[in-house]
Amino acid sequence: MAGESAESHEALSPSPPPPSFGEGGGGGVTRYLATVGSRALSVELIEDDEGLAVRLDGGRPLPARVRRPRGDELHVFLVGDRVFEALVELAEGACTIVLQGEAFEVRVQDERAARLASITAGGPRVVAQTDIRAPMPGLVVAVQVEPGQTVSRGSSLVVLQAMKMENELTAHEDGRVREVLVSPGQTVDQGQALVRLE
Amino acid sequence: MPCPLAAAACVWARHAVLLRMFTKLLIANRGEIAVRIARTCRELGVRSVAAFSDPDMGAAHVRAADEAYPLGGTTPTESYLRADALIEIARRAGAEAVHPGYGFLAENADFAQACADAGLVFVGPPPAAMRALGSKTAARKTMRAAGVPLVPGTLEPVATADAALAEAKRTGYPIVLKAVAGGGGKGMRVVWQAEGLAPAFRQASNEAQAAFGDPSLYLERLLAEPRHVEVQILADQHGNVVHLGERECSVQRRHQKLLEESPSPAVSPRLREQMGQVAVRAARAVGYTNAGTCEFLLDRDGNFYFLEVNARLQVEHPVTELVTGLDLVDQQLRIAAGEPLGFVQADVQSRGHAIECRISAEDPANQFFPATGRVRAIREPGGPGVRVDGALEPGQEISLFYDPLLAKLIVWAEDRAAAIRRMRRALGEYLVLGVRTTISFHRWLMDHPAFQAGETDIGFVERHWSPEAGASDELTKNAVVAAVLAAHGARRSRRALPPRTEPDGRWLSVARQAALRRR
Repeated sequence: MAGESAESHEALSPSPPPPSFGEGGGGGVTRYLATVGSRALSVELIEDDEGLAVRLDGGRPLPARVRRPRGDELHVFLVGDRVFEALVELAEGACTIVLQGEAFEVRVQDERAARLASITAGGPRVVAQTDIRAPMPGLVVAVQVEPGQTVSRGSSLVVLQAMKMENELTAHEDGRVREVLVSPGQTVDQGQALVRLE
Repeated sequence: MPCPLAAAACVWARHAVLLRMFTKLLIANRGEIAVRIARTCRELGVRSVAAFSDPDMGAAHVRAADEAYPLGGTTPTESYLRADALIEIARRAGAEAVHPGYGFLAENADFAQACADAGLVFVGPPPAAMRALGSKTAARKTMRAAGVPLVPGTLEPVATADAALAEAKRTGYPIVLKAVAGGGGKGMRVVWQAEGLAPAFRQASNEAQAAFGDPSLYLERLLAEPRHVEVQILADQHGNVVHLGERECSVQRRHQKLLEESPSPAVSPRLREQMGQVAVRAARAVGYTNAGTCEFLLDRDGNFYFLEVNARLQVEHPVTELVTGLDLVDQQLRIAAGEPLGFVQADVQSRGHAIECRISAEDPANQFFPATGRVRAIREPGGPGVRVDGALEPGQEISLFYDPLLAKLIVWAEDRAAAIRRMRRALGEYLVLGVRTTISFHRWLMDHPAFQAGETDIGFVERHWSPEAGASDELTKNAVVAAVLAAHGARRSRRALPPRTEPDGRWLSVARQAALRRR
């Protein structure tokens, strides 16, 4: 590790690597907030003429490089002396990272946006509503609840037939049925709301 | 020491029988199993014919074959279940035989009969044997007569929920309702007490109707924490029947197998011999020929009970192939062509340990619900002792029309512990982007102490799996770093700055610098 500081940080990313980004030409520091599941981590990217370094959760900055050896979604990351590869899909809001057989949904926000979002979220709370959605297209075989009924976590709401199997959709948490949006015999699409809980 | 003359005679005999092998065969299936069959056909010099639905034009199984014919349609009913259309294709292509794979028409006696009527060899058991086994209640009666141990329950279908209630009272709870025409866990419900019987009866009956076109159910007592252990058999048309040892398939969810291995950690050589003999007896009882599987439940005391015979090549056949060294599709084709088995029971040796993980488009974090999407990119594992049977490729649309099985990852190693380590390594190499798969579940499983100790029964997944099991801290951190670096790179390239003219391959130059520094 002795040579690390002397080592030149290579520019990030595959295809045409522009000299720098952020505040001006000479490089800079960008702070990101990454959320995976319920966990949030702060990540700092430090860029100068020599390349890029990454600092995770206030730890030691490590030189970082990225390559796309096949020219597709397969990315190779060299962070400090650790190398790992992942399939990466970038989308608005969240990145999908497939790493060692595991898939991660990571929301990457720059810190300013994250701060803004947290201010907005601080407003008056409304009653939380949850829609129970069809996890796949199928046929509604039975609706087990009525509007106004209280349900507890795990209680059966709707029986959906798909892939020739009957699947019971259950409540994720305790609540009350606000609305039933489907009826038995109805065909539903993937993601369609079936029951609204509050 | 074999004498040279005998060896020469043997070569001649083998050559002679090879001459009787089919020249062309229709594969009446799709996906990984169709690809797998086509591969053996090519090795044997048998021309293979694929049939394909509209969305499957250009699919891996089509490209694996020598000839391909359109079936039209999208859903299985419109395509791979069209017996008449398939037979017509076989006729047009001049195929002499039809391999049904598994699923679709594989265990359909009418299809087997229709093939025979059209002068085609059906690669599987005779229709009469399929009929005897297809009705689970009829099979139970036959097996009982042949002295095969059965799970206590009814030998006749139970017509109504009320009739089931009366029977269940006799058997005692918990009980399992099963589809008479069933298999593969469809139309099957466990009932713990009388109150749950009526809704379970309705669900199982509906499922049975949807899956098999027959709503009838029968009833069995639920054994306490049994293992699912099955025995592979091969039976030729000359009365020779051998077994190829067992596969343990206890890691299941909702009666769908997730992982299979051979040998079973719970089966001693003596028990293997007993189960094998019973499986052979079961095959003889119905006049079975070709490859088949006798499924048993094995309780903690080493008692085993007949479940059913799967009259087809099983999804999990590769684990048997890896420990025995046999190609089961090759064996199937030889048997179907009328060759006698080339070996006897004493020749069958099992070596090492094999494990298969089913890689399915299902989301383990969301109750294993079927996942859909378009495969964007994949990276498949390889290296020593690793086999991937699959038809998975970038761009492929994963729809709900077909089985969610995408690929099978099978490993072999000298013992179970080494096989688990190898599987763990191979799963880490397996990257699929675009659709949720069961790979993460299998990674969790390989690290589970109870699985490592071989303590699996059919309740294992329900007892132990939690979607929160999640990835290690280090892996999560790597994913976060990867996401930030990739997002940052994309953000930067969106700002249209002129590209820096740097020679590529700076990793190399850095390595060179580092090497120089070390001097």
